Amino acid sequence: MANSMRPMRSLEDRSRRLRRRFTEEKLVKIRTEHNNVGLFRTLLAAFLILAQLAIIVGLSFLPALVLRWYLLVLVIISLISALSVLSSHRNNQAKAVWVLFILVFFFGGFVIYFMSNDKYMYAGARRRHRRIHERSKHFLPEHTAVNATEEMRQTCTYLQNAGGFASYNNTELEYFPSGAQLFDEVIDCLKTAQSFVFIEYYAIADGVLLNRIWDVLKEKALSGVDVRIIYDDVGSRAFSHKMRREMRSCGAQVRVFSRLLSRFTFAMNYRDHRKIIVIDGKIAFTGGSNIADEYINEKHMHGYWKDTGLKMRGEAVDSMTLFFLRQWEFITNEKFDYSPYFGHYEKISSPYVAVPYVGGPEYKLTVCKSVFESVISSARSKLYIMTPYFIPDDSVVQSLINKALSGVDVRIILPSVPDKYYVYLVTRDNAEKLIKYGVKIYYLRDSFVHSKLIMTESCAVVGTVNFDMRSFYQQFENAVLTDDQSVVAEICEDFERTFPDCDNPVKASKNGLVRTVAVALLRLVSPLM
Amino acid sequence: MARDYNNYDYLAVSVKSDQLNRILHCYRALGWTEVKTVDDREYYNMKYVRLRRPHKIANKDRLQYLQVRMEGAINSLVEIVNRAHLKSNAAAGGLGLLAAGLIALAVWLVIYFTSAIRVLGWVCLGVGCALIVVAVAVRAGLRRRERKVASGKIMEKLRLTQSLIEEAVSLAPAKEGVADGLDEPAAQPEANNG
Repeated sequence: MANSMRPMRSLEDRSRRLRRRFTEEKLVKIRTEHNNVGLFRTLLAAFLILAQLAIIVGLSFLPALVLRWYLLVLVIISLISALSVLSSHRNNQAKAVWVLFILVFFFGGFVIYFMSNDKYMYAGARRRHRRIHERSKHFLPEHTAVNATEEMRQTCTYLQNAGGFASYNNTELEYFPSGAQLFDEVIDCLKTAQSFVFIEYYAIADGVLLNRIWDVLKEKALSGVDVRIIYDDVGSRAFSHKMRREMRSCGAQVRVFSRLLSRFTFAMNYRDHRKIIVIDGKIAFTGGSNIADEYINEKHMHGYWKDTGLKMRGEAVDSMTLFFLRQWEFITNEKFDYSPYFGHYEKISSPYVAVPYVGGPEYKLTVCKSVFESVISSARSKLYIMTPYFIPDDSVVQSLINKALSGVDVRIILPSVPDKYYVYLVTRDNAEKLIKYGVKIYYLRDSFVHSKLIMTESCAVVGTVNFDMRSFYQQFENAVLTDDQSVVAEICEDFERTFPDCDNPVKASKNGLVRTVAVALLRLVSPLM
Repeated sequence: MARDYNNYDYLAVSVKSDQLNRILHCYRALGWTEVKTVDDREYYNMKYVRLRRPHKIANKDRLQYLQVRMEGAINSLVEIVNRAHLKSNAAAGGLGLLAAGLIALAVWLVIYFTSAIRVLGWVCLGVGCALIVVAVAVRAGLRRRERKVASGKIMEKLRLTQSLIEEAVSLAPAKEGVADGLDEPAAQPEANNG
């Protein structure tokens, strides 16, 4: 008996020792801090994409094994491709990276370039977008904002001409300095929904927040309210099949944007990063927060999660409805009548201007980047930016430097805790290079800043647009530009409240050799970050 | 009983058993109330604590921020202690390895060679032994300095924790005691008892 007990005891002791070693790292362990749901699926997709690329490059190189002269043909094609890159309308950094890539990998790099060129590979989708836009543009009146400053009027005109984005006067905006406050308001407003609720989010994840929202939505869906949800397949990998099935069974329409594992194309790189909620055409919400627990600090994935949001009432809500319906038609590929969803907004009188706009591969122009540049150039005394990533292209960086050198108080708040370490390396490096020109960089302690804000003394942009090239060139984004002075003051107050909790380096930190090399290599792929 | 997610926020933490009271005091300062405390089945020598707080508590954003910083500061205490003697141990280890190499070389030279080379062997042995003494001395010296640095860091973290708690108390007055048993403890994974 004693002999039979001995191995059991030692096994238990070993298990205890192992557990003790594991827990010695922490005094307090939060039981909800890990979230690797869907990681396997993402890794599988990444592996399949790489395998696909390897096969394509391999096939393009295969003839060279038999025919020597084919190598010369490959070199000539690569040179022509490089010239084609140089004559394209891409930004200079992307051009440099592509030329280098094509010439170094002359045996197949040009194939990858042409496959990732949206001019050829996204042409069909873009035509479809154009048809949808053409068919639906009459739903928005061509508003011309009055009472706007000269700079604001110019930006409104640009947005009208670039994408048909209407600018409105009679709109009331409310700013929320955290995801928790935003979603409390969203839930309260959802309770009032009577005819339709449209939700378009990059990330929806199972959890407390989704349960709270669904508790309200379920009741609405069962009572006949038209509930439609769009989620992005990459961002929403923690949105369970079970939850979606339940939503569908209650009458909600749930659609995925660009399924990850269906077909491997470079269009998969274009993700729907928008965050839109429209309730009855009367109220709309947007901002940085997604529908997941970390955005309201129920979970602490990367320290404290700083996020923001905006509520909209009045005429501008129609624009948000239109953005959603266009995306819905694009995804479902079904034509339907938009007219029942317009004109429900509350009559509000406001002299300030609000312009909801979207950006993405559906537009030839880089709308989101241009609005940022316009806001930067309009700054006279202060320019505050809050962003999770700071990987803009040269023109934006130059505008920031020029403003700082002109005496404008330029401040950028960034996270001190990264969500993606490789992106954070480049972000810090880019930001700290601006310190010597007078730009003040702030790192919010123990926090991940996910807010996407830019404000001057007279206007502000709140939305989903990060200060990086993915947001400028590749993702479907949305934002609201406004000169509403109460909102500008609230955003400014939020910045002022946040500054004391930040570290403010007075000079750039020195990179070691390894970090310098890592940043240089990462910079090569920064157009993809 | 089901959890009332519409009116309360819930938090589940595993806490070192011997630090339970201190850490619960911190959470109470942040407006949390203890619902249930049981032995943690997953982690050794830890207590599983379920807490709750009114969902619409005043200054919630600030309290959340303070909580994250407080948890970080508390956990960094362990990290500071664990890493306190990293440099001294590495330095002593490196010197010890060098000494061991020299002694091994010395033994080889003394056994297999004669005359002049054997003398070199004895020299290596002497240097090796001296290195061991140096390693012990370096370790002791560095450890003394590291202890000072670590205790400075620990004091800094404790002061930070204290200031965070004081700010939290000013925002959400702490309530002592246990909540009136609204819900059951969360389902925990079954312990692996071998």
